[in-house]
Amino acid sequence: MSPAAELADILAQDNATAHQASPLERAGNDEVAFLVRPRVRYLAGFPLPDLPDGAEDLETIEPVEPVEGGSWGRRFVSPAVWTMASPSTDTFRALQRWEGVVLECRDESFLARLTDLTEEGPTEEVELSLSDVPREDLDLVELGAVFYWSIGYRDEVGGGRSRSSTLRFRRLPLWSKQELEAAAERAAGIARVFGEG
Amino acid sequence: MTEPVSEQHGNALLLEGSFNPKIFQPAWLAAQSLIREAEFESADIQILHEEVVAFTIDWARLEVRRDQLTVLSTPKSETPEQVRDLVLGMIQILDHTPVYSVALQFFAHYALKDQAERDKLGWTLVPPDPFKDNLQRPGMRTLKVLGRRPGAAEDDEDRVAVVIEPSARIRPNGVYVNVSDHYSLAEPSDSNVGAEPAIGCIEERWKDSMHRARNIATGIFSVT
Repeated sequence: MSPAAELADILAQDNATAHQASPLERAGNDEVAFLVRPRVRYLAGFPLPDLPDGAEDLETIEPVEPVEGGSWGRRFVSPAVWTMASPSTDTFRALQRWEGVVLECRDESFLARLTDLTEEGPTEEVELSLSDVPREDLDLVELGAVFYWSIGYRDEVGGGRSRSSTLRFRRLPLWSKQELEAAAERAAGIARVFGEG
Repeated sequence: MTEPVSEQHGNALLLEGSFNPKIFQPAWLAAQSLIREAEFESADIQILHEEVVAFTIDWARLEVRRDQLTVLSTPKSETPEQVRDLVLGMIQILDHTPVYSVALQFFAHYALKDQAERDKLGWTLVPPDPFKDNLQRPGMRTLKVLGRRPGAAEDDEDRVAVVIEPSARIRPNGVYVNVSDHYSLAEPSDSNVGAEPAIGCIEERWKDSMHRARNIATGIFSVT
């Protein structure tokens, strides 16, 4: 068998497998993990393989390599394949969540106003330790910064469970429209107190 | 039935619009300080292509195609606001990006006590009577309900979609509930639209959508 014919044989098997590996139905609930696209190989000079129904040809994204009898490359074909998220991952189950705003920064702690995100309730003011802030979020601790505090259980793949308390500072490039409006309202209220506006 | 405690919950934001997938890479997110450096370094990239980008960080999965951007929480997510803020951050930076619609999605997996309790829920939502002459032990596999938001106009085409089905994560007696709140913002033919309407929509509708999803789940479990 010539190398080209042998390659064509391999390709035919590969492509059949690629088609089988691309079920069009969802694997589970409507939660998508990420896209997996089957590959279809072709050999230049040979007939292109049939694409699955609804598939569209995308351009070659890998270099074409010369082989005896021609050259071959790879291309991706769609449609998208949604695969179920792997269940083998740690999970976090929040028991209580707050949104906080930094009111004051101190040497080793900061004062914050907390709003309960789990249930309606009054806001609270608390002092939190800077040592509880993840290292990469320390630069974000400043007056007015927004953060989320979650307390819950972390269930590990191995079956362990631990109680977990996490702080995560919000990363937004700009003040949101709601925040600006809220700030404007507060400023207007303060101005009224001083008999202005 | 009192509402069972949700064992796992999550959320997603789905945007329809016109996107350049290659921009949305973990490195770009880190450079814009939208994620931590450590999250960028541990990102699991499935595909980087000009037509589609897909990757996972600890607490979120992203897929971006030319016509859709999806950010989905993972089981490690701590709070639904993380996913919201990531989407808001991306489209605030790329505020010229046309976004035609936004869907705010909230879902949860609930563990019911036993098969009997799950059957009772299924048969209440989808009574078996119409099927019993022709099927043995008919049971609900997937239920999808569409409705307008309370107070919406008669001609409002936006819908809230509720899906109820057996949970693929909690077996054998888990139930999955997904509430997707869809907001149309512009027509794809509108050449002037950017991301501003989507930003406003997410900021203004977030709380209501989340509460509505919670109330819907409560309502589902209250019927039995």
